[in-house]
Amino acid sequence: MLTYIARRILYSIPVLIVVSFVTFWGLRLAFDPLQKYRGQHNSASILPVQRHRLGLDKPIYVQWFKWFTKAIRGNLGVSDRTNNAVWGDLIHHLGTTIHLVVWGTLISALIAIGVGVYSAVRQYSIGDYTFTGLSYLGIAMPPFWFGLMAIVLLVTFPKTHWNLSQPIFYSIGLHSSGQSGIFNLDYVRHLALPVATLVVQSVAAWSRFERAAMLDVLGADYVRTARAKGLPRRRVIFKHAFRNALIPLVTVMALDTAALFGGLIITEQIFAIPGMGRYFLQSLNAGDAPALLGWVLLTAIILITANLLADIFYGVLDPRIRLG
Amino acid sequence: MSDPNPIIPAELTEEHQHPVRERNDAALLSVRGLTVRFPTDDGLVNAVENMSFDLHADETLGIVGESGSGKSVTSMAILGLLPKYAQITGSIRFRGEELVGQPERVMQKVRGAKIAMIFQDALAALNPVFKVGDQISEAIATHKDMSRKQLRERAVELLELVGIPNPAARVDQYPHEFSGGMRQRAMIAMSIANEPDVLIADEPTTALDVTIQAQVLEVLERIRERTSSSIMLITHDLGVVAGVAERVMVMYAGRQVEMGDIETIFYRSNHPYTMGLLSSLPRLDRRAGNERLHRIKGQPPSLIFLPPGCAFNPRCPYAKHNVCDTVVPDLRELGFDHRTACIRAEEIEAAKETAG
Repeated sequence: MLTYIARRILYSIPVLIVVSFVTFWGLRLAFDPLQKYRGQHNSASILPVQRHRLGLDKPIYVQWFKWFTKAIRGNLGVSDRTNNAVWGDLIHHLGTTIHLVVWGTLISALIAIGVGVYSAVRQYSIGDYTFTGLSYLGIAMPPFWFGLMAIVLLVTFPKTHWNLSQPIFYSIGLHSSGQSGIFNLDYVRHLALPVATLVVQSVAAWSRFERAAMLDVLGADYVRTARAKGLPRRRVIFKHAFRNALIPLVTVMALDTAALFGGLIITEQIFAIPGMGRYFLQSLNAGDAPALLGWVLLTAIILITANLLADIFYGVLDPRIRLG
Repeated sequence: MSDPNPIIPAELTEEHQHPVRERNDAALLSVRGLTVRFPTDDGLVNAVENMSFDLHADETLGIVGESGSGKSVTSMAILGLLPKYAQITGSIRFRGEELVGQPERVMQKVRGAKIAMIFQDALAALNPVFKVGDQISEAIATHKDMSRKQLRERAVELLELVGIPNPAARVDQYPHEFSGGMRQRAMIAMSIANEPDVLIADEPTTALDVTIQAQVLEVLERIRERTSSSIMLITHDLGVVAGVAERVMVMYAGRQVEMGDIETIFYRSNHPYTMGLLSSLPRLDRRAGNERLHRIKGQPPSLIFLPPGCAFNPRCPYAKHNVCDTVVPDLRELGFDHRTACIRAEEIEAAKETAG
């Protein structure tokens, strides 16, 4: 097991090298690091000096190598936009996104598994059709639309309609000014809508997945064997079928969740949450190459880790998979 | 027409006679007029039609037929494991108690405890994520109150009984760590865990190679001696039946076509389908040469659109126009515990006798 993890970490090094090099190259083509020195009265004399100072006269792979050797020692450079160390900025924004990802995934997983199992066990019942319809609706609603509709219907409308001094749910940030901590109503009122935006998407997809996995398993021979033993239906479903139906879902959930760390761009933008997605968008708009590079590297590491975790879970849930 | 009562050889009436055979009241399992239909988008599938038979105490009944002949559906009906949309009529009595139409609650007490099942393809029939020992223990714990330690001991004991070497270590392994033959043994161990009265073995040897087949059948035989369970052995392989069963029921397209004790079916069959099956067996006592193996021409019929009359008539070499394709033949008593569903059974019998 440990050798397996060590080997997987080793394998991830070339992946990170390729990812960072391609990103580095792309960013160099897209953004001009000398932009701020252009168009000035002394541009002609400054440009060659700065070009040499920044190493831009060297081949691209030399430039990348210089960045990479610093990056692996934890120095991702300084953001052009914020003038802070990129590493510190990233950790800060990651800390904010984690709130959304953890709650979103937790709630989505519980609902999706519940709905999926119910729909499979009561296939073609009214409940199953209802959930099927709802999940199509959920998949069909893009997060920007759902988020904006939620703000209009649950924040703006109640506030003006009932003349409230403050809205029931907030649509900006994670906390009101002066508030902190996660076990208070203020936090819940801030988090409710962005998490709901996320949950609707995840539940719609995952519940369909779990329904299919469960249906597949319920038709399996070993479920018939369990019934032939005289086990009550409840135990057949929740012990024999459920455990097997969880295996494929775990992989999907691990990868989807990892993707959320960098993928909540729209949701974080709508609800003004200073997380990873918003950081990416702001860095992109500012042409902040060091920040973007760091962002790509971090999300790549998160994805690789999630992949590894998914494989480890897989081995735990399914004894046929031996990691080694 | 020939003699409707063929002479029964003395050795059949005396040596092989089971004293309990004709006492229907003593039957452990008594099936009467069982009909199972499945509504589908294409029409009604007649999986089993008007099936009647008895399984007596301490007896092995072989049920033979090709795929789709209704063998497995019959066993699923006995355990009440058919899907809800199946239309089941007729009666299945176990020790006099009706099983058809019983609620889940009642059937759960029967399944595994009174009537247990050995499934084919043990790799698929054992849950891949639980240890073999735990799956056996679970079968016991469902019906009996026993401590974890007792359950484990019993599981080891059962694995030993079915001939698994080093059972104390094997009990903690997963199904994928067992070989094919061992998995089938573990399956058998699980089914006999509660010493059921009836053991239904649904193609227990199908997925196994011939050597392992013989070993598994041997285990079944030993179990029978030890536990006095009655066995319903479902198979498409007449060779398997010959070694183990005392009585045989042959099925075709969801209907019984012939029933009798093993000697009668193998040596005195008078149903064209059974005869066809028998002559298609490879035989060591005949010189092969260039001779091809006999085959029954054609395909088994669709269970939705059964041919009118006898279901076998389109493939039957003895089929008589306007007779066999109009009348559904009843299962008729044609000798001591020998029943055949063929209108021309007597003629066939006579023809066979004159041919020697």
